[in-house]
Amino acid sequence: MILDVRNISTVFHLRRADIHAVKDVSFQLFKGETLGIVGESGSGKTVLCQSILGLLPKPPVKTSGHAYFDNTDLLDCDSKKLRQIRGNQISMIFQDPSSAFNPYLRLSEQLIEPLISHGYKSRKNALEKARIILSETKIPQPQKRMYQYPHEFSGGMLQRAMIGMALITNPRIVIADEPTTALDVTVQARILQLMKRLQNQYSLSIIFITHNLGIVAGFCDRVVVMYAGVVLETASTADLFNHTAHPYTKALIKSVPSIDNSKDSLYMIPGMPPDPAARLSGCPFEPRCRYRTDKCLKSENRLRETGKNHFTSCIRVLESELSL
Amino acid sequence: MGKFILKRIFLETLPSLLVIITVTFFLIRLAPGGPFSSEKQISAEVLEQLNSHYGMDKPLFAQYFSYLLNICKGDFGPSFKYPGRTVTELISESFPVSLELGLYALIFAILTGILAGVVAALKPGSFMDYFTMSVSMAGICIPAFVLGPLLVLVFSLKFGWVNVSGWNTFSDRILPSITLGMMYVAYIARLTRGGMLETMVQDFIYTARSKGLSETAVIFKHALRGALLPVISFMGPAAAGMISGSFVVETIFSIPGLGRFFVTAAFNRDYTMILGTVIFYAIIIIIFNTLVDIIQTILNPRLRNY
Ligand SMILES: Nc1ncnc2c1ncn2[C@@H]1O[C@H](COP(=O)(O)OP(=O)(O)O)[C@@H](O)[C@H]1O
Ligand SMILES: [Mg+2]
Repeated sequence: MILDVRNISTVFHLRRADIHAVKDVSFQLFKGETLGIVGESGSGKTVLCQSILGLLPKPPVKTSGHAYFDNTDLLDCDSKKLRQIRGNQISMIFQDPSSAFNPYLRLSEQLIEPLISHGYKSRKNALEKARIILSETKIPQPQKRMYQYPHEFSGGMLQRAMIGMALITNPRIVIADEPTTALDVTVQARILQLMKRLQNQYSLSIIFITHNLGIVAGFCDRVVVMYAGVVLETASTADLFNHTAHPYTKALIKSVPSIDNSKDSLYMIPGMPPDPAARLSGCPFEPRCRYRTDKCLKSENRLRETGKNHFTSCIRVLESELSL
Repeated sequence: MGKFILKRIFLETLPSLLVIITVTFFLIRLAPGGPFSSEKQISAEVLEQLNSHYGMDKPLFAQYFSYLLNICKGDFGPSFKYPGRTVTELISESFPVSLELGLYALIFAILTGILAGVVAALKPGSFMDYFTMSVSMAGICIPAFVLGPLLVLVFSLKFGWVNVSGWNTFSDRILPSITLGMMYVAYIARLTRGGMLETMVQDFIYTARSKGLSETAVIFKHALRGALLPVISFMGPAAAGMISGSFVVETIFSIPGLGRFFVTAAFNRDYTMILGTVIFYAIIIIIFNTLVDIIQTILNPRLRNY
């Protein structure tokens, strides 16, 4: 195990309300694996991974829980130690490459920052490393291109550069927050291929955040399903699809667009996610669940094992009243 | 760059200068009185002689064209009020003083303003934020003719650290520079704060943090550049105003700068001096706006076209 996340809760204390964006989330990441975190937008995936790296502004955000990395609790260590880990041991890839690069600085300058900020002395060697990593991400003419500015690149090329930037320090974990969502479908597939190849080459563990279960199927070893800030189900990818144990996961699988599905038969989960400012008890998916009963709101929402390494929070599944 | 500047001069600068000169030339002739009307009793003969000496007996349009012709040759004419002195002389004697004062004020305003704005933006809503912003609001509200004497009262009369007025030693520069720069400190601080608040929530700031950069590097390397763009646009006209002299500040501290001429020339109907100062001021503004454009192009690569 390389990262052990335990009971993370993140609250935005805003003037009008407290927003509970992440509620008591735990998961483990093992060496070399790809862990998918899926959920509709607004389910707290971004807040979760930014909480792990302490990237959110302290007021108004308050994070509790633990994230153990190499015996270090990332949520309870001084900012200097955290900075040594960020970008060096754990890197992030962001959703929208066109806004995640600083528009005022050359790519080269931004690419070498993870090296320079972790004590790498020679700028010249750092630039050479940047060139190599760009050629590994298959950016044509890296020697010339790296001295250009972000606006001179396409979204796909920038995302390649971002992947290179995340890998330049040879980190152990990469957290990729919807790295393909902002890209064209054709570009998406190539970016995923690239990530898979580099994962083997650099023996990386990846946390892959997406709202698209279709990508998870081909890319992830294990999956955490999030909804309204909580985890509803975790399982290996095969179990998740073959022995689905939560009605929400079932609905997500059903709503994956497939090529032979024509547009009008695209399934949409009815209803809306709950207001994050409201404090709920019981299953958060209950209002939208077609299998709901009275006891869904009365029981505590907690993950329990339903098969080997397969956890769900649906009490109806757990009590074998329901098979999906 | 050379092409850019040439285009700028011939397509923008010269046409706007011509418009400014023309409008000023005819406007000041519309104002009642003339350069000699405030003199003690002068006979009609003397007045006639004066008018013909300065070419004011010719038709207005003839005067206008001969004035244009002269300034093309670099001759801004004699001053009506200071006999025997030319406008060029008067401006070139007093401008260096205003320029020096303005540069000190500019440096003071930029350094303090940016620092105050950054500090305020780091913790919006905190005590430091309210404190710096209140002080800078006061800077906008207190006029120079109040702030100047106040500073003199405290630092010259009470503590005796600097002279009350004059323009001889380096310490004479301190109070006037602060008085002149204070108003701009306030504006710069508010613009910097706004720019910083906007920039600090951008995605690329999160990227920078996720790379393990220190907060200082995040602020000064990644955030400040974008945050300063609005400040720089403001600084064009502001810097031009500062270095071309302030009537109020120069009067309070008895500084022999250019600022007083803007006011006295108008009171005295010193036609050539008015035109001279207006043209000079216009040229300074144009130079500074061009500088601003160049700096912005340097700071913002998206404005560059290769
Ligand atoms: N800066 C913020 N201020 C207030 N609430 C926020 C902020 N960022 C996210 N949230 C809230 O946190 C919840 C989770 O957001 P997010 O993690 O971005 O979702 P996801 O990444 O799964 O789409 C949302 O309900 C959103 O309203
Ligand atoms: Mg997100």
